[in-house]
Amino acid sequence: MLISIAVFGGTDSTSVRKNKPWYIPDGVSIEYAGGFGMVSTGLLYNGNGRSELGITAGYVPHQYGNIWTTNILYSYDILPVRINNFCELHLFKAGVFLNFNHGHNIYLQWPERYPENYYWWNSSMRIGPFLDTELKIKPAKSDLSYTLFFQCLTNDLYLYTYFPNTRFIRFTDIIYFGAGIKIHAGRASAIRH
Amino acid sequence: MNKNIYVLLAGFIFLLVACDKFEYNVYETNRVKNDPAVTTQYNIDRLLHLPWKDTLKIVFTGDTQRFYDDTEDLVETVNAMPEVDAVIITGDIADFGAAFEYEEINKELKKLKVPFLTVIGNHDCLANGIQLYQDIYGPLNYSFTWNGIRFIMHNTNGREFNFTGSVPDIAWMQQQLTDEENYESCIFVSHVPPYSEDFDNNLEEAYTKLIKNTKNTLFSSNGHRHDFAFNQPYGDGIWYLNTSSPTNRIFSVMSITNTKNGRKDTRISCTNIAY
Repeated sequence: MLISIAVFGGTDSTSVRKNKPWYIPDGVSIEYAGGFGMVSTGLLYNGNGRSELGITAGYVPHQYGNIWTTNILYSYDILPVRINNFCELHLFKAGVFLNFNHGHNIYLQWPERYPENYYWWNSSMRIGPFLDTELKIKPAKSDLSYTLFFQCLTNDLYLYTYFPNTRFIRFTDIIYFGAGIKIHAGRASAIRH
Repeated sequence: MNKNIYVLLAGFIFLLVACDKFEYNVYETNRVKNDPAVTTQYNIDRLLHLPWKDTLKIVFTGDTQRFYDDTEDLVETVNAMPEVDAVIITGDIADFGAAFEYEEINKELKKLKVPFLTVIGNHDCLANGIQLYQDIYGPLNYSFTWNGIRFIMHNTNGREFNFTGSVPDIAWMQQQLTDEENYESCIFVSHVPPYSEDFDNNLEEAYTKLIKNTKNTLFSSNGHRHDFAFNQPYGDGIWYLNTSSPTNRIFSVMSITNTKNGRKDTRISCTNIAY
């Protein structure tokens, strides 16, 4: 993470931005929970518009399940609201995630002991929708912006459980939260004018 | 950075710590809080404090996996039957081995007025399911004696343990049955029936022999097939009950009349209740 900051830190001028190779990220994120681990962290790519792509890796410590995750998150900013020169509110960022879990007894491909299609789902791969609410802050004279985000998610297994059982299971039961901070540099750190 | 940002951050961190909806992972093991009311030990203790009854009525169901609305109706139906003494769930409590599923099903099972006991099913073995099962309910193999009947509750999910000859643990079962003076008859409860291809075939003969040769086996009960059956698949005089799943909206009530004098005076009957 620190290396990434060093790479894009201070590349604020437009000319440098234009030449930024595609693989240089626009930001980094660190997240608590959200199904991606106790903590997950990774790179953010913002492109030119309202889209954001996150590639993260996370970990659930041994006593809580001992699971590694790798994740791809894509979101689109539906409602950006400029508050002042230093502050921007993103009320709704709608997204989808793809999450791969790696750990004991969690499989991307079911082991040979099972006949074909014995279990219909993939135990490693989760896919699901999420909604982000973000507060972006760019302190004066800073090259970096700091974004606090709060995330509501669900996933394929929970939805599959919910829909045949809408009487007993409340929709709020299948929603879980994540939250964290994103740090952007360069054009992606700018507050809208 | 100015002070406001630190205040915001502090509030943010407080929110994270205060709320238990922050899920680490679908398969996390920390999410499930210790709930004494659903543990095997607590429910056995409740059973053992019941006064002696000549006739026990035990509800057998299983495979509640993902059938929450149906299971809720089952709980209500059973609660309206004052003659029922206990409920036994023959495995597959959850579907994916996710903590969320145990949380939901336990909300329902806790509403049962009578004690309930479970065995582990193959779906309960998935991901971190075995650890979750142990944390929430208790051991995978356990036994107790109630009203003179020795209950052998055990794990038969051979395929989940790669057919290594260790599941079911026949040596453990034998150990539970050696003290014949302390029980009059015996009931076996597990998830995968021995005639299933998901049972460790190398153990099938030894297992069915053990059940056959146990002092006064009343019957053996399984789930897994989601379909009711009460028959003698091995033609050896031993009754096997296969429980229906709540999704079929049928459960079985086993009525056991046990007069302390051994098999000749012990009568069992099976009644199905549709709801």
